[in-house]
Order: sequence, then C-alpha cells, then structure tokens
Amino acid sequence: MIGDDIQQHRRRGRVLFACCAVVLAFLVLRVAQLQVARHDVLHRIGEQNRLRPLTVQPTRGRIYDRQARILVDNRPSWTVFVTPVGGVGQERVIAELAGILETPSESMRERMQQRRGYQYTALPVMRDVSFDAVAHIRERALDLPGVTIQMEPRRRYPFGTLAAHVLGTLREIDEADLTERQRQGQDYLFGDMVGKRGLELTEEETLRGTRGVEYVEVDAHGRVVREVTSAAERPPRHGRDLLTTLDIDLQLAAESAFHDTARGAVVALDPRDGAVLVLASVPGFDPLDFSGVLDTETWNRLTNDPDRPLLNRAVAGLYPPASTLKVLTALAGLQQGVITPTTRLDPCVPGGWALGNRPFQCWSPGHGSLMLVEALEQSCDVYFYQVGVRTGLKPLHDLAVQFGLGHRVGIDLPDELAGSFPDDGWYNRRLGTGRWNESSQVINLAIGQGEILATPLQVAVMTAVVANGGERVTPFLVREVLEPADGTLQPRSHEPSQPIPGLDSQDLAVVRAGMEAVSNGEHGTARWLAPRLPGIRVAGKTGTGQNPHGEDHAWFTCYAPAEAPEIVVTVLVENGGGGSTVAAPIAFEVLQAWARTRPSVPATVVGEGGVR
Amino acid sequence: MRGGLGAVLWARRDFDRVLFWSVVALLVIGIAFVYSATVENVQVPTPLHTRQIVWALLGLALLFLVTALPIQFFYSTSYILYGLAILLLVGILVAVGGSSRWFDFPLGIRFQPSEPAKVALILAAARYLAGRNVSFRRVQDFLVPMALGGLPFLLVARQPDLGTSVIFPVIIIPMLFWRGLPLWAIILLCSPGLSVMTAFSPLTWGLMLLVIGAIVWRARLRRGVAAAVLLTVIAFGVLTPMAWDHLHEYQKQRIVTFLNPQQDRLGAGYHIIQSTVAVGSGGLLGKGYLQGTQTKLNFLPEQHTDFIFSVIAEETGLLGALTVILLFSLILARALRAAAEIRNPFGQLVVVGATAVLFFHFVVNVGMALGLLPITGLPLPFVSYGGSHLLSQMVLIGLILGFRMRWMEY
Repeated sequence: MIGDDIQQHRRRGRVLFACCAVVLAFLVLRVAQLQVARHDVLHRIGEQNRLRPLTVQPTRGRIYDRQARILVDNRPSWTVFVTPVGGVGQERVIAELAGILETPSESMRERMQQRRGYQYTALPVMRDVSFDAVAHIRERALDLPGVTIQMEPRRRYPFGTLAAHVLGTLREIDEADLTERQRQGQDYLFGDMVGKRGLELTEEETLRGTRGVEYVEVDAHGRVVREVTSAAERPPRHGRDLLTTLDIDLQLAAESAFHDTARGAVVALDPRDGAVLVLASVPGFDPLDFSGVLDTETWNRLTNDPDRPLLNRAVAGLYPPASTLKVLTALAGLQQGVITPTTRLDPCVPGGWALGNRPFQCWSPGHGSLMLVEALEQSCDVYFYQVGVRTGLKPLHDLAVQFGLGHRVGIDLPDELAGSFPDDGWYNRRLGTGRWNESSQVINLAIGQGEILATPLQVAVMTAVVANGGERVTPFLVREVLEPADGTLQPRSHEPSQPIPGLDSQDLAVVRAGMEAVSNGEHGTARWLAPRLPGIRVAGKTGTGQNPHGEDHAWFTCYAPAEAPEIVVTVLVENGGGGSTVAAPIAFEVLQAWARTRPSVPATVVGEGGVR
Repeated sequence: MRGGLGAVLWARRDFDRVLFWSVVALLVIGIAFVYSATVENVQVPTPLHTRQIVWALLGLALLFLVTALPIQFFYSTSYILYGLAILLLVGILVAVGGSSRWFDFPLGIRFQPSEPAKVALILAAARYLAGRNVSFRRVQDFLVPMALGGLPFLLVARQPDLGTSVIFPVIIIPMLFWRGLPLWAIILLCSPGLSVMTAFSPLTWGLMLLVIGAIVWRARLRRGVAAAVLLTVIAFGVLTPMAWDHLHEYQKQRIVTFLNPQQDRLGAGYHIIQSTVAVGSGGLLGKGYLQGTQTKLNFLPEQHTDFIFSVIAEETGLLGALTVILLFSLILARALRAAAEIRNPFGQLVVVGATAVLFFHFVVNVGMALGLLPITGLPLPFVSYGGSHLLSQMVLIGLILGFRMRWMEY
C-alpha cells in the first residue's frame, strides 16, 4: 500500500461511515415512526395483547319433575385446561401435571395430540379434579405454564339413579359429532360436553345455553395474572330448564318394585294427553359414572353387562305383547262384525281348538264356551284364536297400526324402536308369496304371539287409546321450558290426540268392561288387585309372553280409575313368568303411590269405593 | 481497572476512551435488560444476568489481552487461526450431524464455532488483501477473499443457520472497497445477491439486469469477464425459484412471514408483530424499567437474546432506543476513524472488517426488532445474552483498540 496515502483512506472511511449513517438514520426514523407516530395504535394493541378471552361455560339447564322437584341440576367443579404452547417445555409440563393428577402421561399426551386445529385454545385435560390437586397445581403455577384451572358446572342427580334412562347423560363431544355440529354452524369446540342419551340428548339445544366471554390478563404462557373488567365481556346465556311430566314418586315406586336381579320396564301415561308419568327401565345405571371422565373400565362394565343396563327397555326393548294384544283382537272382531258382545264361540276344552287338523291349546284349558267379556277376564286363548281367524290379518294389522304398534309412537326420547306388526307384504317377503297360510299366522297374532314385537311404551299407548275412548295419544316428557333469566314459562307444543276413525264407542265399552273384569271379576286373571286398591277401580289386562329363549315375559297393562281414566300403567318383566303374579304387583305399587299423591281424589269417591 | 495490565494500557494516550466507554455502557445496558427480560420468566440455577456479568468481565479481560498483543502476532497467526476456525465448523457438522449450532459444555455453556470464525475470517482476508501485489487487475485478487468468506458461509449455512452465514460474505465487501475496489465493481460483486432477491418479480429482475448490464458496459470489462458476470447473474435469477423448493419449511416460513406478517398472527408473524408492538407501546419515555408489559407478560419471543432491543425500547422508550443507537454510532465512527489513522494496511483492513461485523449485527438485529428485516436470530452486539458472541465481539473491539494504539507501527 505504498502508493495509498492517508487522504485516500480518510475518503474511504467517510464513504463507509456515510453508508452506515444512511442505514442508521433509517433505523432512527423507524424507531420514531413506531414510538411517536404509531404509538397510540401500538399501545392499544399492546393493551389488548395482555387480555385473553376466556370462555365462560353456560350453566346447563335443570330438569324438574311435574311437581317442580329437581331431578338434575349442577354443582361447581374444577377442570384443568392446558393451552398447548409446543416445544420442550410442553413435555415437562405434561409429565408434571400427569404426576399431580395421578394419571398416565401417555394418555394426556395423546389427548393433546387429538386437539387438531385448536393450537391456541385451552384444552380440558381432566374434569372434576379434587381440591387437593387444584391447590397443588396453583402452588406450582410458575412451573406449569399453559395450565389453567376453570370452574365448570357438572351434573348432579338428587335422586341418584332414578329415571337415569330418561334424564340421560353427558359426554365429551367426539370427533364425528363435533364435525357434524360445526358443519351445521353450531358453536361447539373440542372438549365440550354434549348430551349423549335421554333428554340430555333430545333437549341439547334447550339445555345447553350459549357460552360467554370474559377477559383476563395473562402472560404469553397463558398464566392468568388477574381478571379484567372489559366492555367486550359477554356473560354466558344459561341453559333453559325443562319441566317434565315425570312424577318422581311414581318413578321411585316403579323402580323399587322390581327385584334386585329383575329386568323390565314400566311406563305410566296420562291417557288424556299422553304425558309420561313414569318411564323406568331396570336395571339402570348411575349417571354419575358419566359425569366426569368416564374410565374405560366403567364403560366396559356397562356395555358388556349381559343385563344391558344402558338399554332403555321402555322405548327400545322389543317383546311379543302376548295377551295384552287380545284387547285389540276383540276390538277388531267387533269392528268387523265377526263377533258381538254376546257371541259364544267354540268351547275351550282340554284338547284345544283345531284349525284344520292342527290343535291350538289354551294356556288354561277348560274355560268352556265364553262371551267376549268373560274371554278377556280369563284371557282365554281359544276364544281369541277364533276371533283372529274370523277377523283376518288385514283388519287386525290396520287396527294395531292405528293404536300405535309397528311404528314409533313419537316420544321425545332418542333410540325409540318401531317394533313390528306383520302384514301380507311382510309374510310374502319373509315366507314367499303364496307359501303361507293366513289363518295359521293370524291365530298366533290374535293372542299377541308370533311375529309381533312391541315396546312397553307402545303397549301403554294402546292401553291409553282404550282408556280415553279411542284417541291416539303421542307420549311426551317435556311439558314446559323455563327461561331462568326472567322466569318465563314456555309451554311445549305437542301433537294433539287424534280420534281413531271407525272406532265404535259401544265396542270400546265392551272391551273396557272385559278389562275391568280382569281385576274385578270373579275369574279375573288379576282379581287379587281390586281388594287391595279400595276406592279405585282398575281395568287391566295381563299377559304372559311365550319366550323361546327362556322364562316367559310377564306383562300387565292397566288404567285407572276405570270410570274416568287418569293414568295408564304398563309393566313388563323380562323372563318374569306370569303377568298376574309378577307384572301386576309392580303396577299395583305404582297405582298405590299414585293414589296416595293424587290431589284430585275427593274423600267421597273413596267412600263410594268402599261401598263395593 | 487501574491495576496491572489495565494500568499500563490506560496510560497510553492513544487508547480510544470514547470507544471503550461506549462498549462498557452497552455492556451495562445489556446486563440490566437481560435482568429485566428474564427475572420472572426463566428458571435456571444461575440467573442469566449473573452469567452475563461473568461473560462481560471475561470479555473485558479478553479485550485487554488482545489489546496487549502486537499487530504482527495477528498477522502471522491469521491463516492458522482461519484453518482452526474452519476445522471447528467442519467438526460441528460431523460431530453433531448437522443439526446444531453449538458445542455443549457442562453448566449449560454453549460454544458457537461460527463466532471465532468471524474473527479468523477478518484476519485471514486482511492478510491476503494487505499483500503488496493485490491490485484487482487479476481475477484472483478478489476471488481469493470471496472464497475465504464463501467457505465458512457454506459450512454455517449447512448447520443450518442461514442468518448467521450471510455475515461471512458481507465482511469481505467493505474490506475490498477499502483496498481500492471501485464501487461499480462492488455492485457487480453483489449482483448475484441482487439477482436472488429480485428473482420472484420478473419486472424488478429485468430492471436489475439492465442496470448491471449498463455497469458492465461502462466498466469496459473484457468480453470474457463481462459474459461471466452477466451469465452468473442470470443463472442466479433462474436457479433461485428452484432452490426455494429445497429450503427448509421454517426458512420459507420466515421469509414469507417477513413479507406478510399479518397472514399468521399467532404463528411466525407473531414475533414480528409482538416486537413492533413492544417498541411502539414504549412511546417517548417508555413504561419504566421492569415495567414493560410485553416483556413481563412474555409475549416477546427470545427477549433476552434476539429481541433485547425491543425490551429496551418498550421500557425506556425513544430515549433508550436512541441512546443505544447513538452509542453504536459512536463506536462505528471511532472505529472507522481508527481505520483511516492506522498506517499498517493489515491493521486497517482488520479494523474495517471488525467494524463491518459489528455494524451488520447491529443493523440486522435492530431491523428485526423494528419489523424491517426477517427474523434471523443474530444477536445485538454487547447487549444480547450469550457468551460466545459477546467474547468474539470483545475480541473485535480489542483488535480495533489495540491497532489504534499502535497506529504508527507499520
């Protein structure tokens, strides 16, 4: 560098510094732009930055019985949330949290991975944690970034397991349900609780409410520094309450009338409008098992139990209606004019009644030659074989469908089954056209056996039609909806009762006389009932369903008071045996409880009853 | 500081006190704001600000040690040091399998071999350029320095640390300028880079090509050289879109995010937005020391390293931000003045290279904090937390101070 002089270097130094100065000036301008010109805007953003919206879960609506007794309400509980932040810190947090909550960290990690597109929303990892765990987590808050604890209402059941099938359960929303509900534009997030069975499911929209938003000041790890009152706060809209038609006293009477090991169902309706007073399915389950995080063990126990406790037998149990169907057969025969109330048919003799050269036996051979009322009273199979054969398949089928058999009756519960009542087409499909004989099929149907399957609810509806003078009712559970914010009651509209066309009131009167004789007559299959229910005249029908797989199913369906029916009670006991000895006593318990609490029974009526 | 070696140095009239105290002031600011940024959030056995104090003291000791060594020492060891630095870079690629930028030592101490490589490159390039026969009439006169910078560039880019690797070619350019390479030649040297930057916009790329062509024509280069320059520029323009597909996803993300931070407010754009919010919400005088909400609430990422400038700007406002910029401007001005005063050409070039490193780090880091440049992870010299980097910057300052004291040596 001999030739280079200091002047040259000075110049280059100035050029370099000039370059630097231009860049530095640019930085200074930018700093001034941010801190002076855009200060207000950025300051405001900074303020909002510290505020995190926190969803506030609405309190789910309560469920009441008809006397405003609480069947389901809520209690506060603690739920642990984790806001995924990613990175190595996450692993440590999960491991530590799993330790505190005494749960395997693998399952928690798995849960975090299920979160899909919700990276920045808090994810509930454990519900209903103990106070000790909450205290522990609060203590270690600084070492558990992203972990928050929120109050969440949880379900509480003051009457324990009573009516569990009706009330239903909540579960955390699953992938498919979430996708579907989001597609429909509903506000559901991963980790939300949603009704999965019973009224919790059918009334999800009523019960749920709308989530609210409050603001808390947090750091970037999601740790709440303090709560902040903000104009943007939106309180949650709490869920609406359901006023149901259930009567928990009667429900209790029904459920406790079963033996410990029994399986079956009870339905009690108001035949005047279809209001459901009792809907019981035994065995039941404890809805509390579903209120927290359902462990696999409990789930497996409930689903693998051969008694199928989760099945709501009242609406989804299918059984041959057995002799309860004779009520329909009698009506069909009268309607078709193939019998009159005074027609005496071939006698019931030990040899049975022969169709062609095949004899059909009675359950109790030797009833002799009977008229309709006596035949119902004694439930004589031979009498109804003949009515069935004379009436034919189509009239019997059509009447059964009008009375609610063979299709869903339309109660406001999920999972209701349609059952079946076969017709020509059904047999043609099943046995081949022309390859079956109508009489030999209808002879079984006439006594409620064969290919008929019905739910206890369907039998109750059928009984209600007889009781109310020929109107088809649609059973319902929810009568009114209570808006908790202002206490307004909104009646739930229901399908009105529909008179069944072509039903003669004279015919109905005869059948009702027969049913009254069942519990009041000298030879009635449930004649023990009347003396034990003084003052209330009960009309009913027993049924003993032959069951190829085991002991007979026991039925009893009845209504009371016979003169002006207010209640229908239908009982089914799976493999119980005789309807009169097994099912009718359960109905008796329900009726007794009903009579005790029935406010509208004037003392004089009881007095009149005493005359009998 | 007034005992031992320090006392000897202090006595020297040519020790640049303005430069030295500016560096010390930045060190103190750094420690204070590393404390502010980490006091509540990071849980480690030794608080980071305590570690930073130790690093600063070690750095000052190293600074004085370097100051005490003669220019000749660095001149004669420059190629050896460069070789060692390259070996370390190769070593980390082989040893850690190309996934790390650090050698890990006990006590959580990490050594980043790209830091000494910067110092070594400055020394080696300065030694080559200080050679008597360098005149830029021969191609190798600038090809050799470019190769010296290109080697660590490739090795560090492989780590992969694209942000840090860019520093190596950038060091060379002002050194070439200082040695007498005309500005038009420097523009031509930068032309492949310009071609890459404009490759995605055909119109801009075409304009750029016209300008380069004009410069090539005016410079009256030999035909072969002119053709080579233009072909290189065109090749880079064509290859860049292809190379884009081979970038790591996070690298693409960073570039895309820089171009449009609002696109992903909670993802990578988060950093840029949070940083500008921190700076802007500081206002004129800031929210007060330890009072920054962006900082205290941990919305700022890497706030004790990459985004320390944002912390300072939030808590002390325009006043603090301008103070930091002013201190750096003083260091730059004094360093460039030293370069012009030093008579030893090797010394001049070392000082220019060292200044370039400091300036580049400063601009890239502050530009990132202000949302002007993409996030590269380059620290703010003397201020950001981090040992390797602080020590290498102190060595550079030591070189500037030491060579300045020996300005008369030739």
